[in-house]
Formats: sequence, C-alpha cells, structure tokens
Amino acid sequence: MRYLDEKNIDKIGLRYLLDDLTTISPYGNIKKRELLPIGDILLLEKTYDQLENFIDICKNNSYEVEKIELLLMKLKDISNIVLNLDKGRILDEVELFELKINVMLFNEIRSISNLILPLDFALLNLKHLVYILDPLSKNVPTFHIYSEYSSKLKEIRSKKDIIEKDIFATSNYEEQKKLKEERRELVVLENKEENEVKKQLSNSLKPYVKEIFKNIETIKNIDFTLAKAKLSMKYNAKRPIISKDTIEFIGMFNPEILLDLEGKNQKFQKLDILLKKGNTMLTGANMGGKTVVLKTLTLNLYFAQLGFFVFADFATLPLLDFVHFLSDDVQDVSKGLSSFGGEIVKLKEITGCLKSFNCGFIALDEFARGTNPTEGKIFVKAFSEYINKFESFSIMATHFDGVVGEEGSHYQVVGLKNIDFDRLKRKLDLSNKNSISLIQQHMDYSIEKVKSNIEVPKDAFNIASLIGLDNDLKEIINKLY
Amino acid sequence: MSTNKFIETISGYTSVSIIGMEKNSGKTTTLNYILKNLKGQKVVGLTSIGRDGEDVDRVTKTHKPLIYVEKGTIVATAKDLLNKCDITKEILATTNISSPLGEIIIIRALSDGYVDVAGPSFNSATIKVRDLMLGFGCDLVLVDGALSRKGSAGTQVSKATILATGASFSPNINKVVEESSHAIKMLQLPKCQENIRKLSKKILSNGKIGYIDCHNNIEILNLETSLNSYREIIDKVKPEYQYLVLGGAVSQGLIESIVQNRELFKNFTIVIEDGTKIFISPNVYDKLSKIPVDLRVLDSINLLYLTANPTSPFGYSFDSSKFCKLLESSTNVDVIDVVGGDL
Repeated sequence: MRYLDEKNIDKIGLRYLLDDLTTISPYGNIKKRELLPIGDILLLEKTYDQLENFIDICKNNSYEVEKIELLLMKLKDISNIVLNLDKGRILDEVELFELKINVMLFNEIRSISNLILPLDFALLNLKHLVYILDPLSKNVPTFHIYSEYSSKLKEIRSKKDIIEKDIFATSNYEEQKKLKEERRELVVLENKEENEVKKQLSNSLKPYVKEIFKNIETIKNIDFTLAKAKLSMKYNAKRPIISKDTIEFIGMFNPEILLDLEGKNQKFQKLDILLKKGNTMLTGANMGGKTVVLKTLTLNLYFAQLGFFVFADFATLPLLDFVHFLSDDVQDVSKGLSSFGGEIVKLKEITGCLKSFNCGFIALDEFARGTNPTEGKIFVKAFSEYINKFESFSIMATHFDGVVGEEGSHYQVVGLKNIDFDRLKRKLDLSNKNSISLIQQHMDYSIEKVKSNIEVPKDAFNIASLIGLDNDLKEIINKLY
Repeated sequence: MSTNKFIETISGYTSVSIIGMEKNSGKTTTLNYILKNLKGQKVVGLTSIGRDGEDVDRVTKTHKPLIYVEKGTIVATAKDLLNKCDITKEILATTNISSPLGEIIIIRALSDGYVDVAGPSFNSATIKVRDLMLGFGCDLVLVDGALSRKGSAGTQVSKATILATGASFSPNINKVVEESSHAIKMLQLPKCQENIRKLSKKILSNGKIGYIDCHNNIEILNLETSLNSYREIIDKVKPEYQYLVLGGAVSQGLIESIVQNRELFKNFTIVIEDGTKIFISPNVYDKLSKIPVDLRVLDSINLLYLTANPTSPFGYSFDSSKFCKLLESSTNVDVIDVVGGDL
C-alpha cells in the first residue's frame, strides 16, 4: 500500500474532514468515496486553480450557488438507467420518468451553472432529449406514455374511455360484467401498443447516452468542487506551493484537534515547521504533543495530495508518491505480532516504497519504543541514516538520547522548558484543580528548531511529580538520577 | 345506517385506515364499496400496509376481489406491480422506499381500471407516502391494513379507522359477532390520565416495559419485549406499584400470567400503546377485569364504522340483516353491510 490505511486515516483526523465534506448529490458522494491522491503536478495545479476559482464563486455568487445546491439535492443516480439504454434495453415507465426528471434537473442546473462556473464545468444542453420525453412541452415533472406518441394508442385509449364511462354509468351487474370484458380486450391492445412506444422511445434516446454520461461526470465535479470550496472556506485553508525540495508550514493546524480543544476552552498552538529531504528528529517532553505534530503534518501533506487546500497560513510541499504513518499501535494480535513485530512489518512496506518510488513522506511516532532502549536506539539511528540516502522526507518523534547525528535537523517541543517547576507545583497544591488540565495549560506546544545534537529533555520526573507520585517512590527515583 | 351518512362521515377525514378481523374479512370489499360510493366526488389516494389484493389469496387460495379505481385516483404501489395495474398510468414520483416488490412508486390513474396495491410495510414510510399523495392533490387517503390483522391501525398512520368483519372469519355467526365486539372493545379502550400518559411515554422512550408507583416514580425493566418475559415482569412487581406500562405487542400468555398472580395486581392499571397491540381472547379479558385490573391505552383509535360482509369466499353466507342486527346490538359502533348496501 502506498498511502495511509483506513486506521491511519481515522487517526490523523482525515476521516473527520471527509465527514465534514458535504457533497449533496449521489454523484458527488460517489466522487468522495473514490477519492485518491492526484499524483501529477500539472493536474494537481489545475485542481488547485479550479478550487480557487470555486471559492471566489461561492463568495461572489452565493445566491446562484445556493440555487444549484437545492437542485443537486433533488438528483437521483440514473447511471444504471443510462447503462441499460446504452445496452439497448427497453426502458420501462419508471425508468423513463427518472430519466426525464433528472435530465430536466440537469438543464435547470445548466441554466445557472454555465453562467457562473468555468468552462471545464460547462453542462451540455439536453433539451432535445427532454422534448422526446415531454412531447407536449408541458415541463411538468411527471411522465406517462403520452397518446401523442402513437395514433393507434390514441384510438385505443379513446375507445377504452367510452367503455369506462359506460361502466361508470351502469349499475346493472351483468351489463357491467360484459362491458368490463370488452374493456379487458382493449387493455391488452393498449399494453401492446405502449410496449411498442417504449421500444421506439428507448431507441430514439440511445444516441444521447454519451452526452448524459458527460453531464453526470460534470455534475459530479461541480458538486464535489463546491463541497471542497465550502470546506476550505470554513477553515480558511490555503493553497500550497508545490516545490520538490522542501516541506514548509507556517501556522499549521489540525481542524479535528482544534475544534476538540475549543470545546474544552483551550487553544491549538499553531505550528511552524521546515523539513529538508532526509530525516528530521522531533524530541520533547512527555505530554508535549509530539504525536499531534506528526498527525497534523501527515494530515496536511496527504490532504494536499488529494487536491485540497491545507490548514496553514503558508505551505510549501512536494508531490508525494507515498505517505506512511508508523506508530507502535500497528500490532495485530490476531496475526501474532507484538507491537515491535508490527512495526517491523510496516517498516518493510516503507523501505519497499522508498526503493520503488521517488519522493515520499514518512512519519514515525516513537519508532522501536516497544523493544529494549539500547537496541531501540540503534534502530532509530540506523533508520535516520538510511533514509538520508533517498529523495524522501521523514520525521521521527523519539525519546531516545543521542540518536540525533551532527548534520541532521532537529525540532523540539518547547514543553515545560520555560516553566518554574517549583512554582507550578505550589500552584497545583493550592488550586486543588485537576493536575492534568493545569499541566496542559502551562505546556508550550509550539516547536522550535534546536542544535542537532542537543540533549533530549528529561521532563519525565517533573511531569510525574506534578501529576502526583508516592513520596517514598519519588525519593528512590530521585536517588537514582 | 345509510350509505350516504357513511360516505359523508369518512369524507370528513384526510386519511382513513381499513383493518380486518382476519384474512378475507372483506377489507377489499369494503374498500371497493367506499370507492364506488365516492365516485366522482373525491380524489382518492390509495395505499396499503405491505402486500394485499392478490388475485388469489396466497394463504387460503380463495379468490380475492380486485380494486377498481376511478380516473384521477392516486395510488402508491410497488414497482413490480405496476404492470398488474391496468389503468393508464402517469408516474408522479419515486419514493426511495424499497419493498420486496421493488421501490414504492406514486402514480395517477389517467383512466378507470384495476390496480394492485402493495405499499410500504412500516409506519414511517406509510406516513411519508400518505403525505406525498396529499401533496399531489388527494382529498382522502385510504390505507389498506393488509395481512397483519389489526396491527396497522396505529393512530399515526391515519386519522380514522374502519374495522371490517365478515362471514369468512367463522361459519358460526355468534362467534363472529362475539369476536368482533371484543375487537372493537379493545380498539376503543379508554385513554389513561394525562400525567400517567406522560410517565408512560417516558418509560417507552427509554425502554419497553416499566412500572409506575403511587408516588409517580418509574422503574424501567431491562427487557426488549414483554413476549416470553412473563416471569421477569411479574417478579419485579412491588406493593406500591400501581401501573404496568407495556410497549409493543402484548400477548395472551402475559395477561394469563397476570391473572394467575391476581393478588399482586389488584387495582392495577395496565397501560398499552393502543388497542391494536393487544392479542387476548374475550375470556381472558373478562378474567382480567374481575381482578380488578383496568386496561388503558396511550392513544385511542378513532373507530368510525364496522363493515360487515355476510358472504364468505368459502361458499357459505349469513343472513345479512340478522348478521348486522346482531353486530349492532353487541357494539356501540355503526354497522354497514358492504355487500347488500343500506340497511
């Protein structure tokens, strides 16, 4: 697999965003389900151009957009009907009805969308097709086998009508029975002629199959791009610059975590980060949000590959051939793997991608933490050296000391570095408040670039004593430091 | 009871359900009778709860009457049955409601003719279809209650209800009369007091079965249904409890168990959703009343008429005037003979 699996899509907050992407028609929903990385620079830039364009249209033509959305809401998926038509099948009344009202809706959408949307989104005029299904040009959203289709049908129906009136008028049972028998014979003829008409109708509609499919495809794109524009506007997402050599985000955030924190009256500290090819280390205190950095970065990079704008004030990023997120919860007990075993299986996949594709991105969350620290350290160091040989980017969050080489780049979560622990401890004792939330309040979640060989901060003891440690245990730990 | 008055009464509603005592009790005959008498006066909408109106009844293999509708009638039926409707059809809407016979489609009759109706089989969909038909200009929607006996007369689906009974129920005229009058009694069970109604609704929104005590406290039992949970229900009763609230269907077995434990339930009130949910014999109801236990409903059913079909598809028939007279004397509901006409 080249890209994130379902579990990681949930974890990094992408599922949340896809749920927030509100396509309206069945066609837009299909497009959303089939969402894949675009994988071509020119196509990606074109997608961004279109999205930019749609955002402007949503802002400047909100009235028209709303009208289009109301019409999209009424659409039903007629692909199967059109396929049947293409195969030369004879459509029944209900299928003809669905075809008629949906094509009428296409035309209605067209009358607005062609005026405001770019040429790539122009719908074809299908009024000739509607005319076939609306021979009286009544423009009502119902359908029947109109008598106008066949003079024979007209004749049968008027005969039938006379008999039905006679049935209505008589209360003599025998007379009624006789008339109903006569009527039955006419019903058989009517049915036969109706079938003939359906056959002719299906034949005359068949030449339009290509055009209907073309319109379905366009509607799909209109609905989907509108939903994308709305999502971008909601979070004020920005168009990224595509560049081969760097990944850079200024003011980056993760909508799911941002809203979750807002719900708790806390703020998401926006992140600034610059990644060069090869590996970047991320170290920092416990509870400092290293995992959040990895998730947010992966989300934004992958989202951009799907043709969306990103959640940051500014972003530069490359086209990525693969995106992986490795964490120690990949273990699969049913396959008999421990967490470390699971990581190694996934690692095999990653090295495979590194060798087969040009440029990718890998986030590794505390790689090898499940094994003993001496060996774990070696694995981390080795991988960071290994990846530097490739054209890809990776970021590794770790607790291990001394794994950062001289030349590699290194970020650190600021954490509680600038906090006076004793004061915070006194405050905690006094306030009687939940210690976790107080720590979270004082934690500085921003990241800063540090000298590459700087020591990993030793905050575990501080954090543990803030949360609360048994005094005897604390004393022993203190001695051992 | 005159036909005119009958038609006049049902014309006053926008929706009426027709339910039957049993299969072949003359529901379709009743429907045709109404359609015949409404001819030219009202735009009628027609649907059913599930499948009904087979050419030959699949359970009893007896011939079933077809429904003959007038031009302009609106019908909600399953797609696979459209070719069995010999009217000239105008397709008005597709509903996205699926049934074993295909999607439910709403059509308008552009000619007179026969229709085969199979509407949606659950209440919320029936309500949607009813409202769509009213939106297309129907004056009166008739809901055919289909196989599930009385289970579909629920107060949400229609504003009023007609019960059909007939000779097909049993060759013994007294049995037909006794069972019919009992069914009416159940459909007309009185409503409970407003405060108890509120507490019962609270129980039903959080569970299925519960008790209310003399201080208006409620206890909700952790049971999915009252069927086959007689022991659990009876074991929970405490001296201060006064009301037993039963959601869903209530079986004869449960009521019999309560009768057997009559000491525990003296002066109790049992609250059920409505009269279509209880399935007990006249005999058991009688025993229950003697404890005494009061049976009440959350929603009472607006039962307009009892229609009587004195002929049975099994080949025998009752004397029409005798049958109707017996029915009238044993109930407080007006009786209509849908075969013979005016009484």
